[in-house]
Amino acid sequence: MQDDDQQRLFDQWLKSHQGLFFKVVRAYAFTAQDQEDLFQEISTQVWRSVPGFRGDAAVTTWIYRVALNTAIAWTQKERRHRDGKQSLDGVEPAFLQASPAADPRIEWLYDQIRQLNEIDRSLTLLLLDGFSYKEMAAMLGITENYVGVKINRIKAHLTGKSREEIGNGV
Amino acid sequence: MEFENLQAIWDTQNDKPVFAMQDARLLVALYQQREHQRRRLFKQHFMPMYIVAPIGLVGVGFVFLAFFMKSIYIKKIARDFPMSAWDYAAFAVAAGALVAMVVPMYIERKRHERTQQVFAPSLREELDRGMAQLDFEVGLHSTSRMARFYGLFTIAVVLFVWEVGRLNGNPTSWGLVWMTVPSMIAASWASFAAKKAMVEKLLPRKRALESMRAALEEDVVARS
Repeated sequence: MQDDDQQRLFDQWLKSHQGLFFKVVRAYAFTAQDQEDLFQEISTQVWRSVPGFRGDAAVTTWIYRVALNTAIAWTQKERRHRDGKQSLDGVEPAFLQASPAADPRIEWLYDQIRQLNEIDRSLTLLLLDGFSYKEMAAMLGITENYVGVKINRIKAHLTGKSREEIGNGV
Repeated sequence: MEFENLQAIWDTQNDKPVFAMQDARLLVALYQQREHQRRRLFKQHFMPMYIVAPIGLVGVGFVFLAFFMKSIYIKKIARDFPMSAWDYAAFAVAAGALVAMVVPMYIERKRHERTQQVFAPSLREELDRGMAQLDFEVGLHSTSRMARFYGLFTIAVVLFVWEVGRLNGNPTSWGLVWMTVPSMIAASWASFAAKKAMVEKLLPRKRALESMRAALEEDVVARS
C-alpha cells in the first residue's frame, strides 16, 4: 500500500470513527495528559494497522480491536491507571474539551467503566456498542463462554449500580 | 434501570461528539512545538556550522600567513621552499569552500526565519508554518545538499592539511591527505545514516499536521 493511500484511508477512518477513539480513550485514561497520550498512541497504532486491513471484518471492528489492544497495553505500561484511582473530575484535557451539553448519565457510565479491570472495560465498551459475543471473543482473544460469563456479571453490576445511584438521585 | 436503558444512554454519544477540539490551546501547543523545533535545529545544525566555518577560516588564514611570512622574511632552512602560485590558489580554494559551505546556509536560514518568527494568527496558518518548518528541516538534509556540504568541507580540509604539510617542509604531503580523506568519508557516511533516521522521525509529525490541515479544510467546506 502506498503511503498516500494509507494516509487517505486513515484520515477517512479517523473522521468517521472519531467517537470510537474518544470512547476508548475516556475509558482507559484519566488525566488530560494521559488522554492525549493514549489518543496519539491509538492513532499511531491504527495508522500502522491500515496496510494490514484486508476487509474481512468491518472497519469499526478492526479499529476497536486495535484501539482496545493498544489501550490495554498502554494501561499495563502505565500501572497507575490500573485501579482507576485518579479521577477525571475537574481535569480538562488540554486539546479536547467536553461538549457543553454532555449527558451526565454518560459521565456516570464512564465512571463505572473506569472502575472495572482492563478486560472488563473492553467488554463493556463492546457490549454497549452492540458487538456480539463472537466478535468480542475474536477481538480480545478469549473464548465466547468466558465472554458470556463476564458479560452477565458486568450487566448485573451496571444495572445494580444504576438502581442504587438512581435511588440516590443520580 | 435495565441494561437496554444504559445502552440507549450510551448511544446518545453517537449523535453528538463527546469531545471537541480546543483550537486556541492547540494553536499555542503547535506554536510551542514549532519554536522548540526551530531552537533545536539552530543548536544542532546551524550553530556548529557557524562555529566550525570561522574557526576553519582563521586556521586557513593563520597557515597562509605563516607560510607567507616564512617565504618572505624568515631565513630559509635547507628543506624550506617559498609559496608557489598553486599554494595561493589552494588557500583561496580552501577559504572559498568554507565560505561557500556556510554562507548559502546562513542566507537560506535568514529567509526562512522571516516567515517563522511570528506567532500565527490562526490555526490554519500555524499548521502551514509548522509544515513549512518541517519541509525546511527535511530539505536541509536532502542528499544533494549534504553531498555539496561534505564535498566542500572535504576540499577545505584536504587543502588545509596539504598546505600545513608544505609549511612544514614537505612538498607533497600525501600521507596527511590519505589520513584525512578516510575520516571525512566516515563522517559523511555517519551523517547520511543519521539524516535518514532524522527524516523518518519527522515524517509522522508532518503527516499529522497535514491531516489536521485537511480536516480543517473539510470543516470549512462543510460549514459553507
